[in-house]
Amino acid sequence: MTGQHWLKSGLAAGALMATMALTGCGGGGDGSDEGSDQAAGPQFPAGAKMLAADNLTQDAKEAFINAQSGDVIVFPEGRFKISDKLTFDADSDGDGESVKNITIMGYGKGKTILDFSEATGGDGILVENGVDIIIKDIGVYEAANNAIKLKDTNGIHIQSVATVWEGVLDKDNGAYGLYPVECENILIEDSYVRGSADAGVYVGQSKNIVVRRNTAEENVAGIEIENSMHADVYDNVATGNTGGILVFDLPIGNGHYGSTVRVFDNDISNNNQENFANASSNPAGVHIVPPGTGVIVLSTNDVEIYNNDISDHKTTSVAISSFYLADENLDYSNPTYKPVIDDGWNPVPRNIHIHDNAISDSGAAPEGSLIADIITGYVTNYGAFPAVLYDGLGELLANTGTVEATAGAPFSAEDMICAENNSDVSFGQVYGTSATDPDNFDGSMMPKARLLFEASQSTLLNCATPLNRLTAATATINGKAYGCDSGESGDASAASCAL
Amino acid sequence: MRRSSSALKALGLALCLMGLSACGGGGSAASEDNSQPSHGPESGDCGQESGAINQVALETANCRHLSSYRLFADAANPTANPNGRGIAYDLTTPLFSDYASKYRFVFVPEGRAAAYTEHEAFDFPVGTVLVKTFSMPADTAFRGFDASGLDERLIETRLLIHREKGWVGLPYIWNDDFSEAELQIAGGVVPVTTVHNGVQLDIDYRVPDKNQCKQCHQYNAVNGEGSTISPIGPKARLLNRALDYASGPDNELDYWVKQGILTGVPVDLSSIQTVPAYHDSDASLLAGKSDAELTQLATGYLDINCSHCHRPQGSASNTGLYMEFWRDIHDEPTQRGLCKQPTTYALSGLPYDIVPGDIENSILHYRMASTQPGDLMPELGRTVVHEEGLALVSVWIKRLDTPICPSP
Repeated sequence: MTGQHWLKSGLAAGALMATMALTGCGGGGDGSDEGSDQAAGPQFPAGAKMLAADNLTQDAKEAFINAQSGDVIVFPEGRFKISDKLTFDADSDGDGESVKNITIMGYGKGKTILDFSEATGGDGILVENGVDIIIKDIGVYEAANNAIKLKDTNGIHIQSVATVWEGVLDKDNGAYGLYPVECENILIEDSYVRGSADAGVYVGQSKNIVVRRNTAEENVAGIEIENSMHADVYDNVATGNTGGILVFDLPIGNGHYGSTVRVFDNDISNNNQENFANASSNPAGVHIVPPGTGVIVLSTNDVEIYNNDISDHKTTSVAISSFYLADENLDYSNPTYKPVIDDGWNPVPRNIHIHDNAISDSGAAPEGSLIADIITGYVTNYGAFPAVLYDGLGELLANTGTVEATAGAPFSAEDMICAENNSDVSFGQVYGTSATDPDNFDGSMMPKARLLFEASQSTLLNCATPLNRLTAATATINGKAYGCDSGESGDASAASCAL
Repeated sequence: MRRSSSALKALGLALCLMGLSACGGGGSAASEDNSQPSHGPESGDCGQESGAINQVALETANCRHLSSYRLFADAANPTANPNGRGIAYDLTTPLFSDYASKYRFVFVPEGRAAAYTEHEAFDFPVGTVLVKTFSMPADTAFRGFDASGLDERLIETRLLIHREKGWVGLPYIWNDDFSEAELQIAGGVVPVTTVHNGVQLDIDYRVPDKNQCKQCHQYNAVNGEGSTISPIGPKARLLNRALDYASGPDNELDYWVKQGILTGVPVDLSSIQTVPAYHDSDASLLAGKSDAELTQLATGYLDINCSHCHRPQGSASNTGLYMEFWRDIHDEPTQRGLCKQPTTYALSGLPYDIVPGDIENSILHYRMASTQPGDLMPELGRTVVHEEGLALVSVWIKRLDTPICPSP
């Protein structure tokens, strides 16, 4: 039990040194004020490491470096300029044993604000190789790149955190607010993200993900699930973004590809923000997101979008697309794509189910450079733009059987894109999907855009065989399971799970 | 028990020290800390005095003072005269660190040896310590440390110690009179000045904190559990070069074998795929290099500067951009960045990591040329642009002509 002894002593030493630092820095008054504030403010567990406001960057670094399993590290109340990226690594001494169950917190997401506007690092907080990390009640502002990035971490609970870039929405704002990548067992809840020049909540290359009761406001993408599997996104608010909720699968080439993503019971409204992402010509950067889009699924398999309230989007409410729409040069023979297709990436989405969504006020003023021709075509032909839009091109190419290396096998019943009971809104499909219908090809047997349109859904995405419901995602943190099928008690979003 | 308590004491002292120095004064607080004088021998393992070097402390304790390990004959000169079995080494091409000079030493304990590995850092035995001192020359054209301290200013000395449970990284920062270096696990900022090609550079040199050390030095087995610390420099491809020793010039690998600190080196050293030498003075020679030579030079430079993160086992595994020297650019052009779309980084507004023939549209070039946090790469260890490294990568990208990226 030497370890236990070490742990306790370490805590005591840390507290002692923090006190010394305070008194040594002149003005014991600060110290006593801290004490009284603490008594009046929120309660923290006994033994919590209370960081001193003076010299906060160094103090926080030391607390992160010296952290032992179970530590609760508390940032003080107030707004503080942090001078460098704060890195936590669960095994910084390289002894092969991870410290576990570390809590990084403040006095509230509006009360403790770490301001990285003058920091020398790209990220605000970076967590690597963690096991059961809890981040809560804290705000991270103005990071140069990402506010909170977590990598190679198993067990992440982000609760009531704010990541914010204030002021005018600008392409030079940071990329991601809450950003777990190559992680598993992730719960993000009750948090607020604003101003990201990419995505507010961005879960990438991860699995077992629950994202609920967050508010994503005025980002390019509100919430994005990218190259991730087993994700549930529910009971969130996505408003004022360029695009509300995105489910993307990008050609990365490191073995992480997405599937089984459920987006349900979210309030997705008024995502009509001009796209302020940097004008990257990366074919699938978020700069392609057409302003005024509710939900986009790009080249991801097994996605269920249901019981969302999707209102007031000037371009379209739900868009499902293969990667062909993002990049017409997509082909297995293209050296950009061959290795990632070999790696398991799939550019054509399959098994997408859109049902029971309340969709309203869609398509009043469609725009978006990526789909400018499609918009022009629909507006010219029909004087309207579809509320639910499917490209159909990937499915058509797959069904021809001629480009199987790129588009995959012809679609079977369980691969279909299906929609029902979505407020009787308009549906559109850019390409027909039947390989035997000559109308779907031009004279050189190349796919021909049909711009199919139904003011009220009739045959488009109307599947004869109902798709199976997807299974719920479960995130397990510190031995406790969270999510719709976890058996957790007291979930404020339990009603969403019942849908 | 004894081991734990001495480690704890060292840790407490380090914390204390940092609280002090950060407050910039600290005379009074120092006197409160009666347990330890600020100079002189430390207590416990750090204070024991037997043996050429303090091997016990190296293997067990994070000493407050670098001198407590007794690694050098002159405690104030970590650039020469290592004690015990210490051997100086150099890399074919070094990692850029704001134009600082670097002095590297390896200490392998008596009776033990490292085992040769083809791609990774050698498999060093427990007890090994790698020592690297960073020193800023007054003028980069005249490198070399002497005791006067007029020509070069000591900044930091990093220890990477292979202990029983794995490697431990310890950053020591030199004090104001350069008499001692003190452990600073939270790193620090050291303002330094140098002249490079006639231009004065005022640099806020950043000593990484211990977790930032890990960010570059981590090795995460793919599909495996756990994250270990791994050395970056001492790899076959970076050590297969000649160095002047007291006994005369010798190949470093050969010399290590003769000194008994390395086993298993291939008989034919020319069979080792070796990163070619590239130093700042070589930038003027780039135009005369063949395409093949340039590719070797550039991928070698990217190896030592980038591949500790940009590999499947590194901190940038999620990017899919991998830059180990041995990763063939013809076999894996996308992993190498050619016409590779960025995975997450779109801030520059550029389409691909590398657009052959076109530096202006290559993210790699943009981020190497940047000093803005969030844009600059590498993101740790650099605050100014490495003009000569950028020149190399620029010439290389301009010469690349295949494959042609799809026009975005």
